[in-house]
Amino acid sequence: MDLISHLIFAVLLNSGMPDVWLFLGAIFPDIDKAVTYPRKHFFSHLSRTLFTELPMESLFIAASIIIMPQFALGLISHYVLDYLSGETKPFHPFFGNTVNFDIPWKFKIFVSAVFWIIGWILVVRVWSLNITGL
Amino acid sequence: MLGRAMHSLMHVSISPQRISWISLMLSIVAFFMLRANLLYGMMWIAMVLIVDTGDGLLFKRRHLTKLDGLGIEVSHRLSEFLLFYPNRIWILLATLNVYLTIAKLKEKKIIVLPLRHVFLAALILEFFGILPLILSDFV
Repeated sequence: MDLISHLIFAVLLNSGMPDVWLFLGAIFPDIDKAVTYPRKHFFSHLSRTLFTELPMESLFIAASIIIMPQFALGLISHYVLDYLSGETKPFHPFFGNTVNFDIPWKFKIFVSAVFWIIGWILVVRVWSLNITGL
Repeated sequence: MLGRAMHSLMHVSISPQRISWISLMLSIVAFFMLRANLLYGMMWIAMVLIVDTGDGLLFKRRHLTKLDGLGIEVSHRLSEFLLFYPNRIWILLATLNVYLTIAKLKEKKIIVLPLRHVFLAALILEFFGILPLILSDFV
């Protein structure tokens, strides 16, 4: 899933409340793309590293739940959305098996579009609240 | 009756992995329900556990290997993280469960903790006021 969808899904899990730490948590697992993209690994499990998968991710969640729970929610939301929508190597580096639910591309694009629309509604809502001061 | 249910479960074309996908979707609903209403939250968690039992039974009946069930295990672990957020103790136990799952998949004779079952039991106890303030993060 794209970063915008990850951010919006995280906000939805946080009852529609945006938060800086939540945003950081939701984009944090994709930091490894800085390594995989230059190698031209753009899609599915090829674009995923040890850093993105559950064994490492669960340690990040455990550490951040103590220090910054919103960051942990961002991490959880990111992994759940990636797992539901794409191809992952969940127990890498312990097991190299991939998990793919074969979700059709059209459906993924539809879900992304829904997230983007929800995101725009949230942005407009926050913006109108700031304008009207309600 | 259970035998008939198992028979029909054997002949559905849906894979155990697909059921675990549905179960994770239900966990997302349970995540919201838990925050809205404790009773409805408990009912949704019970539903998630029933669906998870379904994928487990189907997995066993089809004689799949442990590694075929990798997707199911991941789905269960993610469901734990979702349901337990923001309670620190439960999240730490869920992290431990990730590594217990890895050990189990590596053929070690280790039991993965039935955390969601215990969690549901704790919620029920809290709901009836028998175990107050243990899970107050959710209410």
